[in-house]
Amino acid sequence: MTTQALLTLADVSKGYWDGGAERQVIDRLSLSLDAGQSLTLWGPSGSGKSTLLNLIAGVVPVDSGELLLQPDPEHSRIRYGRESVAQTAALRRLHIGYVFQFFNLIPTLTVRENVRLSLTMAQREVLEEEALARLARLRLGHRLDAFPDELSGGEQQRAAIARALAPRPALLLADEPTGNLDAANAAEVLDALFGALEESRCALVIATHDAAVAERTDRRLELG
Amino acid sequence: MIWRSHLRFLARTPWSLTVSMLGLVLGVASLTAVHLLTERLVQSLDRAIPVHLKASQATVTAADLSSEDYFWLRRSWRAGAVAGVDAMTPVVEGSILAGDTRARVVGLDWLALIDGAPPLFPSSPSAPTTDGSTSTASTAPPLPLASRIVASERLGVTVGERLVLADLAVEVAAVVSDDGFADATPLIYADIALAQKLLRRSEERLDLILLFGRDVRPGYERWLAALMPGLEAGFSDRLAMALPPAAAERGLRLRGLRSQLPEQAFGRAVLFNLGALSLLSLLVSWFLQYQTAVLWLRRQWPTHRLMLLQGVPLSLVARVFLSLLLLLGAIAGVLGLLVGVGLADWLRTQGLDAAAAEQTGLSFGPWLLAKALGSALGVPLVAGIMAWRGLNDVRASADLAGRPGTSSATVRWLRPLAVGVSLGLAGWLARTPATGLFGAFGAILLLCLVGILCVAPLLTFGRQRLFSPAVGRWFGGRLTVLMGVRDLFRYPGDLSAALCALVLAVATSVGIGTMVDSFRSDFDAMLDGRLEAPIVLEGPAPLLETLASDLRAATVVAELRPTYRGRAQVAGQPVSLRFEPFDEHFRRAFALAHVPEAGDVLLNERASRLLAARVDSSITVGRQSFRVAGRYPGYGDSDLRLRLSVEPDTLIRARSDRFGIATLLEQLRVYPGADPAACDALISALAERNPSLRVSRRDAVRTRALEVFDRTFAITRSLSTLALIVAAVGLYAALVSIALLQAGNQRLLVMLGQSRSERLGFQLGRSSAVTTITLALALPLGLILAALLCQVVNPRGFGWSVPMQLDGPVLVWPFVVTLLAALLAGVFSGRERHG
Repeated sequence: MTTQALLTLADVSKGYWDGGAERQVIDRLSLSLDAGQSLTLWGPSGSGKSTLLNLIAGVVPVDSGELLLQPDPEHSRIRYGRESVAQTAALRRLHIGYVFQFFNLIPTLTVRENVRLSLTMAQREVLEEEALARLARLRLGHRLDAFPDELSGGEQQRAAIARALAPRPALLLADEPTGNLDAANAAEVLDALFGALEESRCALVIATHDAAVAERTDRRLELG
Repeated sequence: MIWRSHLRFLARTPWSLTVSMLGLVLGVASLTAVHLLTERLVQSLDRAIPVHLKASQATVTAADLSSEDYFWLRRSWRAGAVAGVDAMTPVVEGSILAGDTRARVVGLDWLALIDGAPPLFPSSPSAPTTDGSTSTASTAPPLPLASRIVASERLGVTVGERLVLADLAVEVAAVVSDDGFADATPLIYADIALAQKLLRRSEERLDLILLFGRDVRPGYERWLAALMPGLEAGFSDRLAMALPPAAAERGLRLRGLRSQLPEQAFGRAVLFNLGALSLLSLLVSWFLQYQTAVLWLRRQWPTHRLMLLQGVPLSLVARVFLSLLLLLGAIAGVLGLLVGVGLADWLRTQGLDAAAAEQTGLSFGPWLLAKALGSALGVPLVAGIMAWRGLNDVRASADLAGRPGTSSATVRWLRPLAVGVSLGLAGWLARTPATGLFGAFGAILLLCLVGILCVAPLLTFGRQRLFSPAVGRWFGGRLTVLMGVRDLFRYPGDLSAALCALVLAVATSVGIGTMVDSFRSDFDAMLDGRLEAPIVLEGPAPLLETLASDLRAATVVAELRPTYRGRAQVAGQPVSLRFEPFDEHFRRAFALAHVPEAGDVLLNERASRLLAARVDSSITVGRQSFRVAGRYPGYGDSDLRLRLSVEPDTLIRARSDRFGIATLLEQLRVYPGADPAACDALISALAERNPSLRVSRRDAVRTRALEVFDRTFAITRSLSTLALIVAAVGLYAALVSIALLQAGNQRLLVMLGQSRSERLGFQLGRSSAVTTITLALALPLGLILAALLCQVVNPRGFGWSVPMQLDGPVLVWPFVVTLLAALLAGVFSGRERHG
């Protein structure tokens, strides 16, 4: 049994057609991330932070290169990069959690149901007790039957973190998770995020241009 | 710039645009087709009214009307005691043989009509003469006075020709077109004195008195009749005429013209049904237009909001949006008109036989253009305004997602009040025969309104229940299904219009389908009884009489049953008479408990109702009184029909004047003996020798009867299916609109790794919810509509009631269409979103 990086990007490139010309957003990028590590994707708007997150999540195919994910040492490595959204669905369900800036929760499901949806999709319903306990630690124990629009912005983001971590993903992707919050709420959400990461030994890739966020991660990758 | 943005939006959503336009085009096409068909059929019905009835407004009848009654009435009129009458004439009617042809003689006092009544015969540009030449002057035909008659073309005579009718020499003064009674019998117009002689009637006896006056129909009735051809059948006869009080003592009754034209009433009742159905198509199409407006507005809202933020006036954005709807409405209107002509053409070949379809041309009229374009332009405008307001409401209530919206106290009370009043009024209309067809369809429309009014509360109720955590626990792991269901109920306003349309269409489909299938099943059972004779012979009466003698002597024939026909006025109503032996065959044919007595009479339901004849009461036909032994449905009888028992041999020997009524041999029913093949060969040989003999074999008659039945209802079924398709398009628009509101969810679900089966579960949840809501309302409503159609509309419109029978496929078909539409909408709304 060999121990390898949780996530490896090998010569990954991605470009878009923009105004008749191809614009290379990610150019032959290679990096690796170990379990429990955190990485900030740093750069101005349009530098490719969200694109890179989408490449790692498998919702956007790479133009060249490949990605490798080893959720835990007992699993063989998963190679991906050129598959369709549907083909990488199982990867996201089981191994990757995601937190957006907005629309993190299904508005027609309660907090408890949102978490349960995530577990159901990963077929890890047995983890419900653990997920509910995490919600309680994130001070949402009394809001389990509330619908998202009944929660404050900070509560919504904390619930989203709990939802994303519920199936015990190996990797958590976060796209400007505090971009929509005031300073106090943002700090609270970051505490919750990093606290939860410590518990779970999950790796984190976070896209932000908030220096306070970047300072709390192990590494920083500058884009653009 | 704003226009360009809107047009680009349309270009980028071709699928949504195509489906919405398709719905609009189908809506306009269906109303165009119904209008064209009913308009033409009304015209052809009008052509089938005999000239003397076409110009008159009312009749005076009595159980035993005499010329003394007529002269008394005339004197009263001259004295000013009969209001609203400009002219009057006595009438005698009956059938005679003109050579081998049965002709109908109508005798009038033509001179009494010269002053006060409009000219009865239209001017003719050319009239055939005995020497083969034609006159080119456009002149009115001469009146049939003294021994001169006016004949219809079908009699096959020429002007100036001399004929001998009933031993009397007459001369043809003019030949007029074949307009006349629907039974296609040739007409002979004669002076009343000559007619009485031809019919061997006493000079004292009259059939009725015709009254002429002005048309007093109110303007709105004419307006409605022009807008919705066929709807006039629902109006009661309006008479501005009144008889003096003493007329009642003489037993004289004033009646509208309809009582003399039962086949007209029948035809117009069919048209009324079509007209009412077209109203439904119109409603469904309007709901669709609203749904389309909501969908487009929803999709363009982000652009609109951006424009408003940049300082573009709200009125300008709204104007451009509404103008675009009008533009698309106009295109849909024109296309709908064109498709409607094609649809009408197809429907008439489905619903009419080839000959009738050939005679029925189609053309645009101002009313049709007004209706189609008004619907295509006016409704999008109103729908657009409502959608604009509705969107603001949705946006305002978006923060309250998951909980019931608040409505004002007035609205909360108004809805149950409207439901209660509608139910009460519908019940009253259904139970009050005097309200006629309008009442029956009024009841149906009110019940549809109740169904529509229940949609929004049902959605709100569903929202209250579904958005509780307890329901979430009940769904357990099927959370994607729960999401699909809750999505539907989140914005009731977006879905309610489409659901209203779908409920209407499905309920109508169930109602009409159940009625037609019940009718067909009963009709089929009736054919089993009525078509028990293996072979039926029809043809000229003299030929049948000769054949009857031959066939009685033939050993290959086990039994021969002749039937005879005649016409008479019974209690002032024209009735059709059928004479046949009351025996075991008759008992079986009419499913009677026992064989009726010779002095009994059997009535069809229509006659029983209009003559107010109950079982065991007596009824006078000609000079003889009969006991009413029972009644039968009489499907397809536009006439009031009486079946009487007659000793066949007596009739064969003394063909006419039985009970004072001329009777003609109509059919010979042949029952083969031990060797059916030999009997068949004999009949075939007879048919070869006698070209005018028509031979019908049981199986062929049965097939033909069912074919005619199916054709009769083909238009109804097609229109109901079309309404269902249009409603399904509306549902698609509604589901796309909802899917657009949930676009954020979809992105999240993709990131969560939603699988194909989970996506299918989501769509299935949504589709099942739509289907459940629709069927929860539409099935009971459809069954109530079916009961109303069977037990209220049919008796009022056609004269017979139909025992209602539930049929599986009729109930399953709308369920399948709804589910399919919802599923397809789920699949294609996703395609549009991603495309």
